[in-house]
Amino acid sequence: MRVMVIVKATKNSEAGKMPSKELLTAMGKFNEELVKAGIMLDGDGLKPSSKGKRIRFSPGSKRTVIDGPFTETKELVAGYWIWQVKSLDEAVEWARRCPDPMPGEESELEIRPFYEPEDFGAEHLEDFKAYEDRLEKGLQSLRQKRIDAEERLKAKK
Amino acid sequence: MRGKTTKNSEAGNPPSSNGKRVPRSPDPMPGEESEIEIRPFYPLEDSPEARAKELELRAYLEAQAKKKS
Repeated sequence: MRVMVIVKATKNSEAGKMPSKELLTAMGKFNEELVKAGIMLDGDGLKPSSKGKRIRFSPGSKRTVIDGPFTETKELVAGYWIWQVKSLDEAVEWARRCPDPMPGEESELEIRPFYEPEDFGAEHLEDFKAYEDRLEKGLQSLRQKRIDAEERLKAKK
Repeated sequence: MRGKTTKNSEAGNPPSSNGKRVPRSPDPMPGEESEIEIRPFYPLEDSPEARAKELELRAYLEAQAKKKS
């Protein structure tokens, strides 16, 4: 099963305070362990909500764009991982080994399982396959653009 | 929630950063008020070591994904 592990925001993360070198090193080591164990599929940190926006959908197809910051700090996301695990218990075990992501403040990791294709019923699996193929073509194109950009940057140096 | 309504909301269709109109997301929760939140990632270019480490990790992840597929 895949889970998203959400790092909840704190006052410091919302203030844009960067993690210490020690924390970055510890997190880097933890990430390496996750990757080597075949657990980590992705992960990253988010800038504070002051740099973000929300699009609110109201009944009647009304869409409203709202600028951050958003004040409900404990409900905000500061970072995330996507893990491939055998069970929620395995995810909890890994999460317990995570370095404290917000030293000096109370913080939380939230673990949430993804909806998987089979949750939608066997009759939809073919639709999912066709959808994945279409997405994969787009991702390949994006990946190539990123590789090209990296090569151009290297050539500039 | 503290947030400011922008000029874009008046038009009801958020433009992309280059000013072009973007495709509109379907209402993810029809019949209820809901929100999509957009948040930029931290760029790691400021720290060459962290960037190199991240690229190394991502290359490893891509290789692992290729092996599986």
